[in-house]
Amino acid sequence: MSNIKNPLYHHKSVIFPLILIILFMYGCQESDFSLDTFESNPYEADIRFIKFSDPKILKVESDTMFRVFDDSPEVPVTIDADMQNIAPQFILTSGSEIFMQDANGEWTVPANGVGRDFSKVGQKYMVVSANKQSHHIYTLSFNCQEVATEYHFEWFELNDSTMDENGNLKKNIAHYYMWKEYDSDGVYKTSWASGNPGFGISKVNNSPDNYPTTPCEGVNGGKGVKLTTMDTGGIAAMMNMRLAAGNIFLGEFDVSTALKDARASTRFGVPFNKKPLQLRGWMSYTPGEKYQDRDGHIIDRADSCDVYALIYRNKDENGNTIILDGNTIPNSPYIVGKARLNDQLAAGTNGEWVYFTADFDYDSYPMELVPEYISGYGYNLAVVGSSSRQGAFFCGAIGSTLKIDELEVICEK
Amino acid sequence: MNINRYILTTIAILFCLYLPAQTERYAGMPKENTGVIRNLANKGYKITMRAGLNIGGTTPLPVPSEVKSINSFDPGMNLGIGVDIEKMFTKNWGVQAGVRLENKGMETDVTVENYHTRLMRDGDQTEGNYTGKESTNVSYSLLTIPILARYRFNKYWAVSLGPYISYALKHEFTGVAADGYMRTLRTDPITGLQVPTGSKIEIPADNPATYDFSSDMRRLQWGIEAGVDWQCFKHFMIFAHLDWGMNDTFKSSFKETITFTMYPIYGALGFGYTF
Repeated sequence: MSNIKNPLYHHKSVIFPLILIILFMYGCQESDFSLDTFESNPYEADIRFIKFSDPKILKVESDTMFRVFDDSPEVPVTIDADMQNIAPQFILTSGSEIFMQDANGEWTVPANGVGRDFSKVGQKYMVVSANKQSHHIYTLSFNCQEVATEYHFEWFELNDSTMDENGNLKKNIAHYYMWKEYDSDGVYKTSWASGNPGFGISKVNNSPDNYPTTPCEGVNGGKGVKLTTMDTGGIAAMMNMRLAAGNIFLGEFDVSTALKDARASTRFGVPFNKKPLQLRGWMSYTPGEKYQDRDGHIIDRADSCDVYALIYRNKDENGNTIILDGNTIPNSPYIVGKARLNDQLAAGTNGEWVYFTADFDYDSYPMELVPEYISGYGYNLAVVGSSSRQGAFFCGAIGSTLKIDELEVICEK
Repeated sequence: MNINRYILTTIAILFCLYLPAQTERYAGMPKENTGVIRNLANKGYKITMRAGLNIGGTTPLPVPSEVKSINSFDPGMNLGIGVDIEKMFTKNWGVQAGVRLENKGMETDVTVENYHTRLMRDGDQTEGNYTGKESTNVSYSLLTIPILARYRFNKYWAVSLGPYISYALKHEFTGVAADGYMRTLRTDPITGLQVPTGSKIEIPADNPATYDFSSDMRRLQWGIEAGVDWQCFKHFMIFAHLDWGMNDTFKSSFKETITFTMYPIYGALGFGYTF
């Protein structure tokens, strides 16, 4: 036993492979390699922008590239636009193709730049992804109506009413309400936007009635809209966005930036061609009990709501489109006038419906309202309701409830 | 975690105390072997205590096409300590069985494309296909029992092969997704399959979304272990082994979230003391 030779002499050859293995494992640690962009992947099939060869039909002519936010893009066009033959061109996810249906209902006809009749109904398109595995159906429509100035909140529908086999709303798909305004003749005028799609990111299985923006009983036997400040939970909370104020506004909500830059998601305003004088209507407000700051700490402060209408110039000096979003709307130089619910009512009405009026203030804003621009849709009108004034900054009291109904923007004749 | 550290430390201390005592006995004392280990040794059982470093990963096999690149991999400091007993039946053939406490783990940054996942917190979840960067942290503290067939070439070299089972005292699978976007799924109008045509939700680099699948992991793992031992001195040996996990690291009910099977595949390098 004592005369074992040191086997290291006999097995020098193993040391080398061992070192190699160690070096290899070490070498695996840092090999930096990154894709330049995560813009899209071959499974996606989206219309990203729509282009028009005849931009004159658009209410805001500078909008030759119309950004698409959802499956039912609606392009505002002038009242005399010829909608019987519009040939939109589509900017798609890289590698995708767009089709329309043939006489047999098959999606076989290449549709990019093809003239179609949009005068009666919207037209359907289907985008096929680069890898041919995903199919995405869109309904494109054009709205030549003037924006509604009376808001009844009577007409609402679910964004998606897919059912499961038991007849319940399908799980893992966000189901929430959306509102549209019709005039007294039943003609569709305007769609509302809300932050509901953003809330649906983290609370995907909430029922539609358990969202920040929901229908409620209105003031005159009809329906109104209820805005509630709610706990976002889930992924939004983990990204330091703990609450969502209920909101409703004229404009568009871009859900893609809801977690990245939530205030950029609320894109306020629609092209308008009148001079507004007054905002009036019914509201009721009950602030929630515990006001919390962005970090979720309860602080000694009372919540207040916001109801306002404002008008802003929708083009800059170079003709570029201006859209005010949650970042820019507090103090944009393009604002020309604003009407806002007074602070006393905004602090709360004990849940009672109260009729309010608010005149447009054109004096506090440096930009002048130029009469020639008005008729050419040179201004956007934004009408906004929110259950927490600082909701865009994720501050407010959970449970704050604002109800609004029968709003009206009175304009100069 | 604390209990596990405590156990490991205790075993390490015992090992260190026992080692010099044994060497002393070998060196100076006459063959007056009353200890259990000596008794076993006299009956042809050979006992080895081992300490090693585990390096490896928990990975789907083959690596799915959703993983576009592995940007970094950190095996961490994962130690294992154990004891095993060898019994040879012929000159070359025998068995080896043991028990060890070990940590396995890794941290890896990958770039994925269209990778199905769920981001959850307090029961709220966002499910969809993620494209972008992702960092995953896996760790286990395991009680492992290998039962191996052993082949001895000579006094110095031996190889072993056989099954092992591991019981996870602690298991963690956490991560962050950042600098990318999630697409929610919808039913494809043509194929009826779930496709990423729903909302596109950007997740910025400076505000990551975290996930924690720790509670969806299995406690019991099994796999195949292959090892090689080199007895370079009378009592001192160097070993390497590979533990190739054969069952999914996640419970089968978790398939909805991570659709592919993740196998723990870890190798160890270390040294041992043979009595």
